[in-house]
Amino acid sequence: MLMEKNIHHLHSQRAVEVPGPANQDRPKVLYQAIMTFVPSLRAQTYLIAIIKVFVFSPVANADCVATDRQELQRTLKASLEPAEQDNLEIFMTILDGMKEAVIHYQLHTPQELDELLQARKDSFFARWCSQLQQPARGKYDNTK
Amino acid sequence: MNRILKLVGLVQAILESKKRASLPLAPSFSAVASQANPIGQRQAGFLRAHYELLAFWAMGRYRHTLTPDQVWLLVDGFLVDESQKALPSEGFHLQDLCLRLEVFADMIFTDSEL
Repeated sequence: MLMEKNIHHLHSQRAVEVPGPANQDRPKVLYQAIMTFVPSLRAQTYLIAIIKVFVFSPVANADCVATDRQELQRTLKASLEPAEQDNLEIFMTILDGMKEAVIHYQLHTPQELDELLQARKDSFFARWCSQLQQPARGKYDNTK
Repeated sequence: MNRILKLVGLVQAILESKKRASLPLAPSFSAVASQANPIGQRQAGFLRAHYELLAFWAMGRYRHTLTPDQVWLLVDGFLVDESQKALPSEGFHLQDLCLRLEVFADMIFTDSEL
């Protein structure tokens, strides 16, 4: 059922339908999660497309999300190598987070998700550096 | 709602307290971290490398209790706190970092209930 629905989604969702380099191998964080936890999925482009549908598809209601999640988890579990199945729960939780961000920030494409994340990351580490450096001027800088 | 507001307040307080930390000037995050802690450079690299997955894991883990904006605050506070700790061992993985984040979140939730 999920497979059939997702095939339909594959042809109807802008997020996974957009051709060209902009959305190829994006969102990067998805591929990072795949390589970290379930690397055997990397070669299964059809499953990756289904995952993208799950993450980027519009949400009708919470029950639909839960049902889709269960079906996706079953589909992935059936496709994973036994050694990777222990990582499925953490991988699914990461997908939940991506979907949550897509809904909350009203993102439409994998590129937008990457851009949001990069902006957050850059902002945090820049702020952190800045915070660490500021108090040091008075204590260590004797050039004034 | 009160619980969430307290969480946000506590995370902000943690960030503020870290802001007051006194450390030497350095040109980059890794360098700053390594000066803050002699073994910090590798740790900073580790935390930076896992930032994305940790953030989305947390967003998924707390999707029923916190908004994404609140999760960013939680993760940011956790990373600042984590950077003050000892270097993870060679076998330390993202899963371990997730567990530590859960402990950190539990601590904040518990504190907020006191």
